Amino acid sequence: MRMREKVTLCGLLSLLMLLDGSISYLFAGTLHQFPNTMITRLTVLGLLLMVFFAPDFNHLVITALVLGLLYDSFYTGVLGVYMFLFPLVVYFTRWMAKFFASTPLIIGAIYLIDLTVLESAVYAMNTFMGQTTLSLNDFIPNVLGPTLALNLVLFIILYLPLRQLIAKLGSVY
Amino acid sequence: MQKFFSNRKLIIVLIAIIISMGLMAFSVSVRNSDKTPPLIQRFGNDVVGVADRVVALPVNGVKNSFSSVSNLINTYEENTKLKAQLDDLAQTKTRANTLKAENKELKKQLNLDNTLTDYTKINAAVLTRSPANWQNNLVINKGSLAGIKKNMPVMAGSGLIGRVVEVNGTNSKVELVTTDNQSANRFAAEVVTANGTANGIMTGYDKQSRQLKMGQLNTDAKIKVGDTVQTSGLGGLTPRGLYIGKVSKVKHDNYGLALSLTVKPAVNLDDFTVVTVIKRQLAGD
Repeated sequence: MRMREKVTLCGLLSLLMLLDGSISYLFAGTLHQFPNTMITRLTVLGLLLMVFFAPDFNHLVITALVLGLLYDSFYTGVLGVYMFLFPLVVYFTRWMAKFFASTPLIIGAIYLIDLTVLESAVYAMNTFMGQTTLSLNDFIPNVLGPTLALNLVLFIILYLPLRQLIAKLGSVY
Repeated sequence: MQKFFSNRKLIIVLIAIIISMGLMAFSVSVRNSDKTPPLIQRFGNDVVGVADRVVALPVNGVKNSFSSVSNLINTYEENTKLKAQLDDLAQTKTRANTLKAENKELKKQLNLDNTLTDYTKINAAVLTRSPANWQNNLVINKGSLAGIKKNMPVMAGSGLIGRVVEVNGTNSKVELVTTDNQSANRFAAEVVTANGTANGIMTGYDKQSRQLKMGQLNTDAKIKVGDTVQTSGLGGLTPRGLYIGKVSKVKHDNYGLALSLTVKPAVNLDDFTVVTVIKRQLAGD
């Protein structure tokens, strides 16, 4: 993979990151309706699909690290959360991908596992930092469940177009 | 032991965990300092902020057109309601202007330049919102170049919504009053009652009833449902007299003193496109 393809893929990831925030702002009333909180995770979807459909992208872990750092700095100002978790998601996905054939159903299932790990880790870190008082009993039905549901829907809608886009951007001209 | 350390990946993961924990502890501990974020982080945020303007522009356009349509549907109902208020308003406005002028004259005679109630406004648009709701952060499109400083209060429409927690060159972060963060800087507020004011602190937000909580009240002044709650201007960079909401419930303790209040916020805390950052003219501490 040459420089040009890498830059376009990084651009796509940054766009997905910014879209996360914009969607969250646009539908704030719907997504954050008490007691449910839905968190869009298009960035994670982008990373996941790049593991599968841009296998030549060999600096994906470093890219995920930098992206996580920007994500932390721009959205929350608390560094070290997504900076650690985005590369972890890439590693984890690569590890799981070894055991399965990459069919849409399997990729969807891996996405859900990734998100469960990610959300739980984010929750644990926020509890550790004293940013939230939510109990685990409330977290699982009110945050984790709706978030998985929302992202599954987004996955179903975006899987095909994003896959084609990434495969096209990632292939050598 | 030998085998554990020979596992290269495990060591990398451990080091990553330590670094990330360290960074987290660092950013939480320096969060309330005036000097944060560091220059390089500010620069990074500015670059992302500029890119975000491109994404935010169509999104905000869509949001605005949606709200205009829903406004249109509500117009008739609202119009009848507003007509009733309008006559009263004209009179109140004239009176307010007269009093303002008089107040200015009197201040001049007393050689008072600025008091706690004087402030100027900086208007800003909301760029985006943090996707995860743990921090309740908004990003607005004005920063230190427009004169925004850390800890300035932020209003939307007629009510208080939050406080600036981080300032970059061209954008800044606002922490909403709905935050669950235990280390958040809380607003000092006062209840205006028929016989004097009662000082207290906005202590939190009840997500279920969508109302603010106020506690640590200092007097036993008779607080009634419907009394106005506003900022008291004590401490920080907040001027006096920013409208927060109206008292909706008074909880008494065994001795009959008002201990905690529930306040109905003046604005919908989930839906706004333009915010106003309040700059107090009297220098803060």
